Amino acid sequence: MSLAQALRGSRPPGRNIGRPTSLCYGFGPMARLAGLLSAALLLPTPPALAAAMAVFPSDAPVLLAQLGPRSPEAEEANELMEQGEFEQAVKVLQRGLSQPDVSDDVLVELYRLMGLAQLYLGNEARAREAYEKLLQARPDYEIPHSAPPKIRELYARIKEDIRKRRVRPVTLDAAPIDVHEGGRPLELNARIEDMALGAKAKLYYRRAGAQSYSSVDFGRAKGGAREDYSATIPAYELPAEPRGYDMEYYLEVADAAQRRLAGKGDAFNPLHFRVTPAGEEVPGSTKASAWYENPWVWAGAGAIVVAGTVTAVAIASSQPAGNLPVTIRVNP
Amino acid sequence: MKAAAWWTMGLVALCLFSGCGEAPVPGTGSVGFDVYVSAAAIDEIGGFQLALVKPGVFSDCTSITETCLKNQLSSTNQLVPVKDDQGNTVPALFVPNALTTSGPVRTQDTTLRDVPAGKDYFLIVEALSRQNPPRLLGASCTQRIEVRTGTNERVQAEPIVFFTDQGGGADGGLGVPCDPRF
Repeated sequence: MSLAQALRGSRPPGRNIGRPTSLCYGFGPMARLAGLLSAALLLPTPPALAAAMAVFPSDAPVLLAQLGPRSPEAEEANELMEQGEFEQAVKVLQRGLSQPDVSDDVLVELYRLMGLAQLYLGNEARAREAYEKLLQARPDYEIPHSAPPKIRELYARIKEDIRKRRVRPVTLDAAPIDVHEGGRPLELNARIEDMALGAKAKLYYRRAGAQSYSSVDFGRAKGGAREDYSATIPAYELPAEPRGYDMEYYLEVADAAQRRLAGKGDAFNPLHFRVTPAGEEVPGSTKASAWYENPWVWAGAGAIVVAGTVTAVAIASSQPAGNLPVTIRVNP
Repeated sequence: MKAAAWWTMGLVALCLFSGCGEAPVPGTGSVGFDVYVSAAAIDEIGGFQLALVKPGVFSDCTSITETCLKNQLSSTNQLVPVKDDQGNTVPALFVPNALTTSGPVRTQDTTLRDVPAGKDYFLIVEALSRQNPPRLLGASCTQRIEVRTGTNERVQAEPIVFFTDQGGGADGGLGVPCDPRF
Protein backbone atom coordinates (compact mmCIF):
# COMPACT_ATOMS: atom_id res chain seq x y z
CA MET A 1 0.00 0.00 0.00
CA SER A 2 1.21 3.45 -0.64
CA LEU A 3 -0.70 6.60 0.04
CA ALA A 4 1.77 8.36 -2.20
CA GLN A 5 0.82 5.98 -4.97
CA ALA A 6 -2.81 6.50 -4.19
CA LEU A 7 -2.55 10.23 -4.47
CA ARG A 8 -0.18 10.02 -7.37
CA GLY A 9 -2.51 7.71 -9.24
CA SER A 10 -1.65 5.39 -12.06
CA ARG A 11 -2.84 4.07 -15.34
CA PRO A 12 -4.03 0.48 -15.40
CA PRO A 13 -1.07 -1.86 -15.33
CA GLY A 14 0.25 -3.84 -18.19
CA ARG A 15 -1.11 -1.77 -21.03
CA ASN A 16 2.05 0.01 -21.77
CA ILE A 17 1.57 1.45 -25.22
CA GLY A 18 0.53 4.76 -23.73
CA ARG A 19 2.27 8.06 -23.74
CA PRO A 20 5.41 8.12 -21.69
CA THR A 21 3.78 10.54 -19.33
CA SER A 22 4.41 9.93 -15.72
CA LEU A 23 2.43 11.57 -13.00
CA CYS A 24 5.18 11.02 -10.44
CA TYR A 25 5.79 14.18 -8.51
CA GLY A 26 8.03 14.57 -5.60
CA PHE A 27 6.85 14.48 -2.02
CA GLY A 28 9.03 16.56 0.25
CA PRO A 29 8.92 16.58 4.02
CA MET A 30 5.88 18.85 4.21
CA ALA A 31 4.07 16.85 1.58
CA ARG A 32 4.82 13.76 3.60
CA LEU A 33 3.33 15.54 6.57
CA ALA A 34 0.37 16.46 4.39
CA GLY A 35 -0.02 12.88 3.36
CA LEU A 36 0.15 11.86 6.98
CA LEU A 37 -2.55 14.33 7.94
CA SER A 38 -4.64 13.45 4.92
CA ALA A 39 -4.43 9.84 5.86
CA ALA A 40 -5.41 10.77 9.36
CA LEU A 41 -8.42 12.65 8.04
CA LEU A 42 -9.48 9.82 5.83
CA LEU A 43 -8.56 7.02 8.15
CA PRO A 44 -9.32 8.34 11.62
CA THR A 45 -8.11 5.25 13.40
CA PRO A 46 -4.78 4.58 15.04
CA PRO A 47 -3.89 1.78 12.61
CA ALA A 48 -4.54 4.20 9.77
CA LEU A 49 -2.15 6.70 11.26
CA ALA A 50 0.42 3.98 11.63
CA ALA A 51 -0.14 3.02 8.02
CA ALA A 52 0.28 6.59 6.88
CA MET A 53 3.49 6.91 8.85
CA ALA A 54 4.72 3.78 7.21
CA VAL A 55 3.93 5.29 3.85
CA PHE A 56 6.00 8.39 4.39
CA PRO A 57 8.96 7.45 6.53
CA SER A 58 11.19 10.41 7.24
CA ASP A 59 14.15 8.82 5.53
CA ALA A 60 12.26 7.63 2.45
CA PRO A 61 13.82 8.70 -0.84
CA VAL A 62 11.97 11.57 -2.45
CA LEU A 63 10.33 10.64 -5.72
CA LEU A 64 11.46 12.75 -8.63
CA ALA A 65 9.23 14.96 -10.71
CA GLN A 66 11.30 15.08 -13.82
CA LEU A 67 9.03 12.83 -15.84
CA GLY A 68 5.77 14.64 -15.14
CA PRO A 69 4.04 17.03 -17.51
CA ARG A 70 5.72 20.39 -17.45
CA SER A 71 3.58 23.19 -16.17
CA PRO A 72 5.01 26.16 -14.26
CA GLU A 73 1.90 26.28 -12.12
CA ALA A 74 2.05 22.57 -11.31
CA GLU A 75 5.70 22.84 -10.36
CA GLU A 76 5.11 25.95 -8.28
CA ALA A 77 2.13 24.36 -6.57
CA ASN A 78 4.19 21.28 -5.89
CA GLU A 79 6.88 23.37 -4.23
CA LEU A 80 4.32 25.28 -2.20
CA MET A 81 2.79 22.05 -1.04
CA GLU A 82 6.18 20.80 0.02
CA GLN A 83 6.45 23.94 2.14
CA GLY A 84 2.99 23.41 3.59
CA GLU A 85 1.49 26.39 1.77
CA PHE A 86 -1.61 24.57 0.66
CA GLU A 87 -3.95 27.53 0.37
CA GLN A 88 -1.38 29.33 -1.74
CA ALA A 89 -0.93 26.16 -3.80
CA VAL A 90 -4.66 26.06 -4.48
CA LYS A 91 -4.51 29.62 -5.82
CA VAL A 92 -1.60 28.76 -8.06
CA LEU A 93 -3.42 25.69 -9.33
CA GLN A 94 -6.52 27.74 -10.06
CA ARG A 95 -4.35 30.12 -12.02
CA GLY A 96 -2.91 27.20 -13.95
CA LEU A 97 -6.35 25.85 -14.74
CA SER A 98 -7.45 29.20 -16.11
CA GLN A 99 -4.61 29.26 -18.62
CA PRO A 100 -5.64 28.84 -22.27
CA ASP A 101 -4.58 25.74 -24.18
CA VAL A 102 -3.81 23.59 -21.18
CA SER A 103 -2.80 20.15 -22.40
CA ASP A 104 -4.67 17.10 -21.18
CA ASP A 105 -1.70 15.78 -19.24
CA VAL A 106 -1.16 19.10 -17.50
CA LEU A 107 -4.87 19.31 -16.79
CA VAL A 108 -4.79 15.92 -15.13
CA GLU A 109 -1.77 16.89 -13.08
CA LEU A 110 -3.28 20.19 -11.97
CA TYR A 111 -6.49 18.52 -10.84
CA ARG A 112 -4.59 15.73 -9.14
CA LEU A 113 -2.61 18.26 -7.12
CA MET A 114 -5.77 20.24 -6.47
CA GLY A 115 -7.44 17.15 -5.06
CA LEU A 116 -4.45 16.50 -2.84
CA ALA A 117 -4.25 20.08 -1.60
CA GLN A 118 -7.94 20.20 -0.84
CA LEU A 119 -7.74 16.91 0.98
CA TYR A 120 -4.99 18.31 3.13
CA LEU A 121 -7.05 21.41 3.84
CA GLY A 122 -9.77 19.08 5.06
CA ASN A 123 -12.11 20.06 2.26
CA GLU A 124 -13.33 16.75 0.94
CA ALA A 125 -16.04 18.38 -1.18
CA ARG A 126 -13.49 20.44 -3.07
CA ALA A 127 -11.19 17.45 -3.39
CA ARG A 128 -14.09 15.52 -4.79
CA GLU A 129 -14.75 18.31 -7.28
CA ALA A 130 -11.15 18.20 -8.43
CA TYR A 131 -11.16 14.43 -8.83
CA GLU A 132 -14.43 14.62 -10.75
CA LYS A 133 -12.85 17.00 -13.21
CA LEU A 134 -9.77 14.83 -13.39
CA LEU A 135 -12.02 11.93 -14.34
CA GLN A 136 -13.74 13.99 -16.98
CA ALA A 137 -10.41 14.82 -18.54
CA ARG A 138 -9.02 11.30 -18.18
CA PRO A 139 -11.85 8.81 -17.83
CA ASP A 140 -9.44 5.91 -17.52
CA TYR A 141 -7.53 7.41 -14.61
CA GLU A 142 -7.28 4.80 -11.88
CA ILE A 143 -6.30 4.72 -8.27
CA PRO A 144 -4.07 1.70 -7.67
CA HIS A 145 -5.66 -1.35 -6.11
CA SER A 146 -3.12 -1.09 -3.34
CA ALA A 147 -4.42 2.30 -2.21
CA PRO A 148 -6.07 2.57 1.22
CA PRO A 149 -9.70 1.44 1.24
CA LYS A 150 -10.93 4.88 2.30
CA ILE A 151 -9.33 6.56 -0.67
CA ARG A 152 -10.49 3.89 -3.06
CA GLU A 153 -13.99 4.19 -1.67
CA LEU A 154 -13.98 7.94 -2.15
CA TYR A 155 -12.69 7.56 -5.68
CA ALA A 156 -15.14 4.77 -6.50
CA ARG A 157 -18.02 6.87 -5.16
CA ILE A 158 -16.99 9.76 -7.37
CA LYS A 159 -16.80 7.53 -10.42
CA GLU A 160 -20.16 5.99 -9.66
CA ASP A 161 -21.72 9.41 -9.19
CA ILE A 162 -20.41 10.56 -12.54
CA ARG A 163 -21.73 7.42 -14.18
CA LYS A 164 -25.18 7.90 -12.67
CA ARG A 165 -25.29 11.56 -13.49
CA ARG A 166 -25.06 10.77 -17.18
CA VAL A 167 -23.39 13.92 -18.35
CA ARG A 168 -25.42 15.69 -20.97
CA PRO A 169 -24.22 15.03 -24.49
CA VAL A 170 -22.23 17.67 -26.31
CA THR A 171 -24.14 19.35 -29.12
CA LEU A 172 -22.53 21.13 -32.02
CA ASP A 173 -24.32 23.35 -34.47
CA ALA A 174 -22.85 25.35 -37.31
CA ALA A 175 -24.22 26.94 -40.44
CA PRO A 176 -22.94 25.24 -43.58
CA ILE A 177 -20.54 27.08 -45.87
CA ASP A 178 -21.53 27.27 -49.53
CA VAL A 179 -18.95 29.44 -51.17
CA HIS A 180 -15.96 31.48 -50.07
CA GLU A 181 -13.83 33.99 -51.90
CA GLY A 182 -10.29 32.75 -52.43
CA GLY A 183 -7.36 34.55 -50.86
CA ARG A 184 -9.26 35.43 -47.70
CA PRO A 185 -9.37 33.66 -44.34
CA LEU A 186 -12.52 31.76 -43.58
CA GLU A 187 -14.02 32.09 -40.13
CA LEU A 188 -16.49 29.40 -39.21
CA ASN A 189 -18.73 30.01 -36.22
CA ALA A 190 -20.23 27.16 -34.27
CA ARG A 191 -22.37 26.78 -31.20
CA ILE A 192 -21.16 24.04 -28.90
CA GLU A 193 -23.26 23.32 -25.85
CA ASP A 194 -22.26 21.25 -22.84
CA MET A 195 -18.66 21.14 -23.95
CA ALA A 196 -16.97 18.46 -21.87
CA LEU A 197 -13.95 19.32 -19.83
CA GLY A 198 -10.79 18.38 -21.63
CA ALA A 199 -12.64 18.05 -24.92
CA LYS A 200 -11.51 19.93 -27.99
CA ALA A 201 -13.39 21.04 -31.05
CA LYS A 202 -11.62 21.04 -34.38
CA LEU A 203 -12.35 22.02 -37.93
CA TYR A 204 -10.80 19.58 -40.39
CA TYR A 205 -10.41 20.65 -43.99
CA ARG A 206 -8.70 19.65 -47.20
CA ARG A 207 -8.83 20.51 -50.83
CA ALA A 208 -11.13 18.11 -52.66
CA GLY A 209 -9.00 15.26 -53.94
CA ALA A 210 -6.24 15.70 -51.37
CA GLN A 211 -5.35 12.72 -49.21
CA SER A 212 -5.20 14.18 -45.75
CA TYR A 213 -6.97 16.78 -43.71
CA SER A 214 -5.48 19.76 -41.96
CA SER A 215 -7.16 21.07 -38.85
CA VAL A 216 -7.61 24.19 -36.79
CA ASP A 217 -8.92 24.34 -33.25
CA PHE A 218 -12.10 26.05 -32.31
CA GLY A 219 -11.72 28.76 -29.69
CA ARG A 220 -14.22 30.81 -27.76
CA ALA A 221 -15.66 33.48 -30.06
CA LYS A 222 -14.67 36.96 -28.99
CA GLY A 223 -17.57 38.81 -27.46
CA GLY A 224 -19.84 35.84 -27.91
CA ALA A 225 -21.71 33.70 -25.45
CA ARG A 226 -20.03 30.89 -23.59
CA GLU A 227 -21.29 28.43 -26.18
CA ASP A 228 -20.08 30.41 -29.19
CA TYR A 229 -16.92 29.14 -30.80
CA SER A 230 -15.06 30.01 -33.96
CA ALA A 231 -12.26 28.55 -36.04
CA THR A 232 -10.41 30.21 -38.86
CA ILE A 233 -8.87 28.62 -41.92
CA PRO A 234 -5.98 30.90 -42.82
CA ALA A 235 -5.99 32.69 -46.16
CA TYR A 236 -2.93 30.86 -47.42
CA GLU A 237 -4.86 27.61 -47.22
CA LEU A 238 -7.53 29.06 -49.49
CA PRO A 239 -5.56 30.72 -52.28
CA ALA A 240 -7.40 32.50 -55.06
CA GLU A 241 -7.10 30.61 -58.33
CA PRO A 242 -8.45 31.51 -61.76
CA ARG A 243 -10.92 28.64 -61.93
CA GLY A 244 -11.98 28.15 -58.35
CA TYR A 245 -12.02 24.80 -56.56
CA ASP A 246 -13.86 22.76 -53.95
CA MET A 247 -12.91 22.21 -50.34
CA GLU A 248 -14.03 19.43 -48.02
CA TYR A 249 -14.43 19.90 -44.30
CA TYR A 250 -15.95 18.50 -41.16
CA LEU A 251 -16.29 19.58 -37.56
CA GLU A 252 -15.64 17.36 -34.59
CA VAL A 253 -15.64 17.58 -30.82
CA ALA A 254 -13.51 14.87 -29.23
CA ASP A 255 -12.72 14.16 -25.60
CA ALA A 256 -9.31 13.70 -24.08
CA ALA A 257 -9.29 10.10 -25.23
CA GLN A 258 -10.05 11.26 -28.77
CA ARG A 259 -13.53 9.83 -28.67
CA ARG A 260 -15.91 11.72 -30.90
CA LEU A 261 -18.54 13.48 -28.81
CA ALA A 262 -20.25 15.48 -31.53
CA GLY A 263 -19.63 16.59 -35.07
CA LYS A 264 -20.84 17.70 -38.45
CA GLY A 265 -19.68 15.45 -41.27
CA ASP A 266 -16.72 13.16 -40.90
CA ALA A 267 -13.56 12.22 -42.76
CA PHE A 268 -15.42 9.94 -45.11
CA ASN A 269 -18.54 12.02 -45.49
CA PRO A 270 -17.25 15.57 -45.43
CA LEU A 271 -19.16 18.76 -46.10
CA HIS A 272 -18.19 20.90 -49.08
CA PHE A 273 -17.77 24.49 -50.07
CA ARG A 274 -16.43 26.18 -53.16
CA VAL A 275 -13.60 28.65 -53.23
CA THR A 276 -14.23 31.23 -55.91
CA PRO A 277 -11.58 33.28 -57.71
CA ALA A 278 -10.61 36.51 -55.96
CA GLY A 279 -12.86 39.42 -56.75
CA GLU A 280 -15.65 37.24 -58.01
CA GLU A 281 -18.93 38.03 -56.44
CA VAL A 282 -19.95 35.35 -53.98
CA PRO A 283 -23.65 34.73 -54.46
CA GLY A 284 -25.73 32.19 -52.65
CA SER A 285 -24.34 29.48 -54.88
CA THR A 286 -21.92 29.50 -57.77
CA LYS A 287 -23.36 26.25 -58.99
CA ALA A 288 -26.54 28.04 -60.06
CA SER A 289 -24.68 30.54 -62.24
CA ALA A 290 -22.53 27.82 -63.75
CA TRP A 291 -25.64 25.89 -64.55
CA TYR A 292 -27.11 28.76 -66.52
CA GLU A 293 -23.89 29.73 -68.21
CA ASN A 294 -23.10 26.33 -69.57
CA PRO A 295 -24.75 25.80 -72.94
CA TRP A 296 -24.11 22.07 -72.78
CA VAL A 297 -26.51 21.82 -69.92
CA TRP A 298 -29.33 23.13 -72.10
CA ALA A 299 -28.23 21.13 -75.09
CA GLY A 300 -28.25 17.79 -73.41
CA ALA A 301 -30.05 18.22 -70.12
CA GLY A 302 -31.98 15.01 -70.35
CA ALA A 303 -28.98 12.99 -71.41
CA ILE A 304 -26.89 14.45 -68.63
CA VAL A 305 -29.47 13.60 -66.02
CA VAL A 306 -29.56 10.00 -67.18
CA ALA A 307 -25.80 9.79 -67.56
CA GLY A 308 -25.29 11.41 -64.17
CA THR A 309 -27.56 8.94 -62.49
CA VAL A 310 -25.82 6.01 -64.13
CA THR A 311 -22.42 7.43 -63.25
CA ALA A 312 -23.43 8.02 -59.64
CA VAL A 313 -24.65 4.46 -59.31
CA ALA A 314 -21.49 3.17 -60.93
CA ILE A 315 -19.27 5.22 -58.66
CA ALA A 316 -21.20 4.21 -55.57
CA SER A 317 -20.96 0.56 -56.44
CA SER A 318 -17.32 0.60 -57.42
CA GLN A 319 -15.67 2.32 -54.52
CA PRO A 320 -11.99 1.53 -54.77
CA ALA A 321 -11.15 -1.20 -52.32
CA GLY A 322 -8.30 -3.54 -51.67
CA ASN A 323 -7.32 -6.63 -49.76
CA LEU A 324 -5.06 -6.20 -46.78
CA PRO A 325 -3.09 -9.24 -45.65
CA VAL A 326 -2.33 -9.01 -41.94
CA THR A 327 -0.03 -11.02 -39.71
CA ILE A 328 -1.19 -11.19 -36.13
CA ARG A 329 1.74 -11.46 -33.77
CA VAL A 330 1.95 -12.71 -30.21
CA ASN A 331 5.14 -12.81 -28.22
CA PRO A 332 5.23 -16.01 -26.20
CA MET B 1 32.21 -23.45 -12.75
CA LYS B 2 29.21 -24.99 -14.42
CA ALA B 3 27.06 -24.08 -11.46
CA ALA B 4 28.19 -20.46 -11.70
CA ALA B 5 27.29 -20.35 -15.38
CA TRP B 6 23.86 -21.77 -14.68
CA TRP B 7 23.36 -19.25 -11.89
CA THR B 8 24.33 -16.41 -14.24
CA MET B 9 21.96 -17.61 -16.94
CA GLY B 10 19.24 -18.02 -14.38
CA LEU B 11 19.67 -14.49 -13.14
CA VAL B 12 19.60 -13.10 -16.69
CA ALA B 13 16.45 -15.05 -17.44
CA LEU B 14 14.90 -13.88 -14.18
CA CYS B 15 15.69 -10.30 -15.12
CA LEU B 16 14.21 -10.69 -18.59
CA PHE B 17 11.01 -12.24 -17.32
CA SER B 18 10.57 -9.87 -14.42
CA GLY B 19 10.16 -6.68 -16.43
CA CYS B 20 13.67 -5.28 -16.68
CA GLY B 21 14.50 -3.20 -19.71
CA GLU B 22 13.55 0.08 -21.33
CA ALA B 23 10.06 1.44 -21.41
CA PRO B 24 8.26 0.85 -24.69
CA VAL B 25 8.33 3.54 -27.33
CA PRO B 26 4.92 5.22 -27.45
CA GLY B 27 2.80 4.47 -30.46
CA THR B 28 4.86 1.55 -31.57
CA GLY B 29 3.12 -0.97 -29.41
CA SER B 30 6.49 -2.41 -28.51
CA VAL B 31 6.07 -4.68 -25.58
CA GLY B 32 9.58 -4.47 -24.20
CA PHE B 33 9.91 -6.88 -21.33
CA ASP B 34 6.88 -5.71 -19.47
CA VAL B 35 4.56 -8.29 -20.87
CA TYR B 36 4.05 -11.65 -19.36
CA VAL B 37 2.43 -14.16 -21.64
CA SER B 38 2.28 -17.67 -20.45
CA ALA B 39 1.50 -20.63 -22.62
CA ALA B 40 -1.66 -20.98 -20.58
CA ALA B 41 -2.69 -17.46 -21.57
CA ILE B 42 -2.18 -18.25 -25.24
CA ASP B 43 -4.26 -21.36 -24.85
CA GLU B 44 -7.02 -19.16 -23.50
CA ILE B 45 -7.25 -17.22 -26.78
CA GLY B 46 -10.39 -18.19 -28.62
CA GLY B 47 -9.73 -15.92 -31.56
CA PHE B 48 -8.79 -12.50 -32.77
CA GLN B 49 -10.91 -9.57 -33.77
CA LEU B 50 -9.40 -7.20 -36.34
CA ALA B 51 -10.80 -3.72 -36.88
CA LEU B 52 -9.67 -0.73 -38.88
CA VAL B 53 -10.42 2.64 -37.33
CA LYS B 54 -10.97 5.59 -39.60
CA PRO B 55 -8.50 8.47 -39.48
CA GLY B 56 -9.32 11.26 -37.10
CA VAL B 57 -10.99 9.05 -34.51
CA PHE B 58 -7.80 8.55 -32.49
CA SER B 59 -4.73 10.74 -32.61
CA ASP B 60 -2.38 7.90 -31.71
CA CYS B 61 -2.34 4.44 -30.15
CA THR B 62 -2.31 5.79 -26.61
CA SER B 63 -4.74 4.00 -24.32
CA ILE B 64 -6.61 2.32 -27.17
CA THR B 65 -5.53 -1.13 -26.12
CA GLU B 66 -6.42 -0.64 -22.47
CA THR B 67 -9.98 -1.77 -22.87
CA CYS B 68 -12.36 -3.02 -25.53
CA LEU B 69 -12.26 -0.93 -28.69
CA LYS B 70 -16.03 -1.16 -28.85
CA ASN B 71 -16.32 0.87 -25.67
CA GLN B 72 -14.17 3.64 -27.07
CA LEU B 73 -16.19 4.37 -30.18
CA SER B 74 -19.35 6.40 -30.41
CA SER B 75 -20.57 4.25 -33.28
CA THR B 76 -19.38 1.59 -35.67
CA ASN B 77 -19.37 4.28 -38.36
CA GLN B 78 -15.94 5.13 -37.01
CA LEU B 79 -14.69 1.80 -38.30
CA VAL B 80 -13.74 0.96 -41.85
CA PRO B 81 -16.14 -1.75 -43.02
CA VAL B 82 -14.61 -5.04 -44.11
CA LYS B 83 -15.94 -8.26 -45.57
CA ASP B 84 -16.09 -11.56 -43.78
CA ASP B 85 -15.63 -14.97 -45.40
CA GLN B 86 -19.26 -15.02 -46.45
CA GLY B 87 -18.96 -11.66 -48.17
CA ASN B 88 -20.99 -9.86 -45.54
CA THR B 89 -19.97 -6.35 -44.63
CA VAL B 90 -18.93 -6.30 -40.99
CA PRO B 91 -17.36 -3.67 -38.75
CA ALA B 92 -14.63 -6.06 -37.57
CA LEU B 93 -13.35 -9.44 -38.68
CA PHE B 94 -13.17 -12.35 -36.24
CA VAL B 95 -10.74 -15.15 -36.93
CA PRO B 96 -10.39 -18.24 -34.71
CA ASN B 97 -7.11 -18.81 -32.95
CA ALA B 98 -4.75 -20.67 -35.28
CA LEU B 99 -1.44 -19.34 -34.06
CA THR B 100 1.66 -20.97 -35.40
CA THR B 101 5.12 -20.73 -33.96
CA SER B 102 7.43 -18.71 -36.15
CA GLY B 103 10.83 -18.24 -34.55
CA PRO B 104 10.57 -16.35 -31.30
CA VAL B 105 6.99 -15.25 -31.88
CA ARG B 106 3.68 -16.89 -32.62
CA THR B 107 1.89 -15.59 -35.67
CA GLN B 108 -1.28 -16.03 -37.62
CA ASP B 109 -1.93 -14.77 -41.12
CA THR B 110 -5.28 -13.49 -42.26
CA THR B 111 -6.64 -11.00 -44.77
CA LEU B 112 -9.04 -8.11 -44.51
CA ARG B 113 -11.01 -8.14 -47.75
CA ASP B 114 -12.60 -5.36 -49.73
CA VAL B 115 -11.29 -2.65 -47.49
CA PRO B 116 -12.12 0.83 -48.82
CA ALA B 117 -8.92 2.46 -50.03
CA GLY B 118 -7.56 5.07 -47.68
CA LYS B 119 -4.69 5.95 -45.42
CA ASP B 120 -3.96 6.67 -41.78
CA TYR B 121 -6.15 3.85 -40.60
CA PHE B 122 -5.50 2.30 -37.20
CA LEU B 123 -5.41 -1.49 -37.12
CA ILE B 124 -6.62 -2.86 -33.79
CA VAL B 125 -6.20 -6.56 -33.09
CA GLU B 126 -7.94 -7.84 -29.99
CA ALA B 127 -7.39 -11.26 -28.48
CA LEU B 128 -10.67 -12.75 -27.25
CA SER B 129 -10.92 -15.40 -24.58
CA ARG B 130 -12.67 -18.70 -25.12
CA GLN B 131 -15.30 -17.79 -22.56
CA ASN B 132 -18.89 -16.96 -23.43
CA PRO B 133 -19.22 -14.04 -23.51
CA PRO B 134 -15.57 -13.56 -24.38
CA ARG B 135 -13.26 -11.22 -22.52
CA LEU B 136 -10.46 -9.08 -23.80
CA LEU B 137 -7.16 -10.82 -23.10
CA GLY B 138 -4.96 -8.32 -24.89
CA ALA B 139 -4.75 -6.05 -27.87
CA SER B 140 -2.40 -4.34 -30.24
CA CYS B 141 -2.60 -1.11 -32.16
CA THR B 142 -0.80 -0.38 -35.41
CA GLN B 143 -0.86 3.13 -36.85
CA ARG B 144 -0.64 4.60 -40.31
CA ILE B 145 -2.15 1.73 -42.23
CA GLU B 146 -2.66 2.55 -45.89
CA VAL B 147 -4.88 0.51 -48.15
CA ARG B 148 -4.65 0.78 -51.91
CA THR B 149 -6.75 -0.91 -54.51
CA GLY B 150 -5.83 -4.50 -55.27
CA THR B 151 -3.81 -6.63 -52.94
CA ASN B 152 -1.61 -4.71 -50.57
CA GLU B 153 1.66 -5.58 -48.91
CA ARG B 154 1.31 -7.69 -45.80
CA VAL B 155 1.02 -5.68 -42.62
CA GLN B 156 2.89 -6.96 -39.59
CA ALA B 157 0.58 -6.02 -36.76
CA GLU B 158 2.22 -4.85 -33.58
CA PRO B 159 2.62 -7.70 -31.06
CA ILE B 160 -0.41 -8.14 -28.88
CA VAL B 161 -0.04 -6.71 -25.41
CA PHE B 162 -1.55 -8.97 -22.81
CA PHE B 163 -2.76 -7.66 -19.54
CA THR B 164 -0.44 -8.35 -16.68
CA ASP B 165 -3.24 -8.67 -14.16
CA GLN B 166 -4.46 -11.87 -15.74
CA GLY B 167 -6.51 -13.80 -13.31
CA GLY B 168 -6.32 -10.98 -10.85
CA GLY B 169 -9.63 -9.39 -11.64
CA ALA B 170 -12.41 -9.18 -9.12
CA ASP B 171 -14.20 -12.04 -10.81
CA GLY B 172 -11.04 -14.05 -11.18
CA GLY B 173 -11.24 -14.17 -14.96
CA LEU B 174 -8.45 -13.47 -17.37
CA GLY B 175 -8.02 -10.10 -19.06
CA VAL B 176 -10.49 -7.27 -19.01
CA PRO B 177 -14.14 -8.03 -18.30
CA CYS B 178 -15.60 -6.46 -21.41
CA ASP B 179 -17.03 -8.20 -24.44
CA PRO B 180 -15.03 -6.97 -27.43
CA ARG B 181 -17.46 -8.20 -30.07
CA PHE B 182 -19.25 -5.65 -32.24
